[in-house]
Parts: sequence; C-alpha cells; structure tokens
Amino acid sequence: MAWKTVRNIINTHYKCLGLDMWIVNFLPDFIFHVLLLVSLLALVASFVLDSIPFVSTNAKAIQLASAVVLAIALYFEGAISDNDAWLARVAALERQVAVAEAKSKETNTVIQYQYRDKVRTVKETQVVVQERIVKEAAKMDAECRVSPEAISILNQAAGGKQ
Amino acid sequence: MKYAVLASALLLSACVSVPVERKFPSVPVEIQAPCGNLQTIDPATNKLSVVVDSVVTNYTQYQLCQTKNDTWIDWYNEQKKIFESVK
Repeated sequence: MAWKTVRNIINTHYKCLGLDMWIVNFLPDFIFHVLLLVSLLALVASFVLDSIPFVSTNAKAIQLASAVVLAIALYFEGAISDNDAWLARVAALERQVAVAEAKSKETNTVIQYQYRDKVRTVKETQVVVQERIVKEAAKMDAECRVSPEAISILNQAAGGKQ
Repeated sequence: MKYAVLASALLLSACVSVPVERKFPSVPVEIQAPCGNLQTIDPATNKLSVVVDSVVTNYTQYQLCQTKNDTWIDWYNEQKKIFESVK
C-alpha cells in the first residue's frame, strides 16, 4: 500500500528514464560519436589491413569486439537522436505554453474591461431610473397605497424562503 | 533498510522532473465575488415609490449578477480555447 503510494507520487511528479537514457544524459555525446567512428574503422581495418601482423593474427577478435562496440555505439546514437527529438518537442511545447500564458493574461484584461464597462452601464441606468422615481414619487404615492400583504409577498420572494 | 535506501536511490537516479509545467489560468478578482442578496422592503411603508425603488434596486442586482455570470462563461470559453491551442 505504502509502496504503491510512493510509486504514484514518483509517477505523478517525475518522468522516469531507462538506464540507457540516463547514460545518454550523463555522458557527453562526443564519446558515442568517437566510439562509433573507432569501431567502424576497426571493423574495416580487420578486413582490409590483413597485411599488418597484429591485425591478421587477431582479425576475428577485432571483428567481434568492434562489431559489439559498433552495435552499442549505434544504439546510443539512436538514443541521442531520440533524446534530441524529445528535447526539441519539450522546447516547442514550452514556447507554446509561454505564448498561451501571455494570451491568457491578455484575454483576462479584455474580459475585465468588458465586465467593468457592462457594470458601469447597469449602474448608470439604475441612477437614471432612480432619478425618475424621485421625480414621479409624489404622483405615484398620491394615486396608490401598497397593502402590507403585497410588501410581505415581495419580501418573501426576495428572501427566497418559504 | 540499507537495501531500501539503495533501491530508492537507484530508482530516483533515472528520474527527472516533468519539464513542461502548465499553470491554471487566473480569474479576474472582480468576478470572483458572490452575488449580493435581494433587497427587502420596509414592512411599515405603504408608499408605491418605496416599493418601486426596491424593485429597481433588485433588478439592478440581478443585472449585475447576470453580467458576472456571462463574464464567467466568456472567461471559460476563451481560456478553454487558449488551453486547447497548446498541443
């Protein structure tokens, strides 16, 4: 149970890498380029330079070793390329997020202005209407008396309670 | 215990924090305030002008609340569009 929780926390907050990607991140890229080049040269040399005594006597061992190193170097070249592609995607996404955040702030400012404008209009209308009430109050009050029941009904409706 | 520490260290050594973090968009403070209550009328009054004034105040209160609600809808739609533009 506790282990599951720990794994969940790790998976939520961290992107776990394989050992190969860890090595790619830890060692500089040129090491793999050099390994690739050396292993390739050694493999070619083991086939071509059989006139050299050391090469001719150890040709099989050199071929085997250089083939293994070549395979490893090729694998890591692929991993580097993949890593670079992912880093490029992350950088592109970071740029997109930055643009989106700026746009979001801009939109908020526009929405805020529009909201303030609408509120101002509503309040200005209220002032105009209330001025009319003041002007017409005497006439309204002379012609009509409101019963306490009507006020009670209105207050009940305004309070939203039964 | 020491194996657990070693295992954790090994597990964490191959982990990096997620590089792209997205923040939840902020909301204008003005629209975060709740709508006010409707005004009630003084039960002692029998003047129509007082009743009309109260009704007007409540209409205004509704319109302010409606504006706030519309603004929330606009905010949501606009921010959703921006959020979905990042792929």
